[in-house]
Amino acid sequence: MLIDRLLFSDNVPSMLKKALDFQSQRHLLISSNISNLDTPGYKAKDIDFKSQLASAIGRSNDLAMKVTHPVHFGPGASSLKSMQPQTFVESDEPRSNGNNVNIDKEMAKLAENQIAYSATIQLMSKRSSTIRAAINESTQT
Amino acid sequence: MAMEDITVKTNLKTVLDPGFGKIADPLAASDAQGPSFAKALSESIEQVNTLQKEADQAIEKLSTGESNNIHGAMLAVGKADLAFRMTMQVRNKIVEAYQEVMRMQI
Repeated sequence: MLIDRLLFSDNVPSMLKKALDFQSQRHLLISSNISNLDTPGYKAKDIDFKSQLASAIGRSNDLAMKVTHPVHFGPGASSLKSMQPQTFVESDEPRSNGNNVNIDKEMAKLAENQIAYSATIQLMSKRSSTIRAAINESTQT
Repeated sequence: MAMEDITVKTNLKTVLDPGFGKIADPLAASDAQGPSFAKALSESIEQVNTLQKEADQAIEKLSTGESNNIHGAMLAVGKADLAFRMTMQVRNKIVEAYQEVMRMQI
């Protein structure tokens, strides 16, 4: 789309959008961990957005593919758009009923995730307010 | 002044000449009075661009977990926003002044 290319040509807006997607997904996951605190055999799950994003845009420390030309496949805008949350199971030691949910840890993750979510929203609105200013306030009487 | 002399260039000259160097080569090096107005303007636009790039880098670092500096990213974005708005208002004033001159009866 032309509008997309004009306004959202760089990585940052789609990165912020993905961050919101992942953080809301992570909120659901943490909530379900907390509600399954007493379910026998339940294992806590989590999402690691930061490392997934770092490998999607080719910033991770491990040997990553490098893009030498903008139309080539590889890490970049397209891999950012197709990024899906990958859940993993927490490796904490399970209790006697096979459940390994650590309520303190989940609460801390919940609080951290909430802060990250509202920070992402604020960054997004601050950034778009600049663009809005460029559109609206360029001609004043 | 003959009628055909009233062009963009001559009008801009009347705006910029009192103290701001020559319009013929607006990006030329500074004369005795310091950097030309056009040069100062293009430099500040360049600075705004740099600030916006810095803000984007701060967001990227925050999202990838390279840094946990939330307030730093917020400040960088706010700074870029303010700088951009300020530059845009300066530009608006310049365009306004130019239009004022263009409307002038000679």
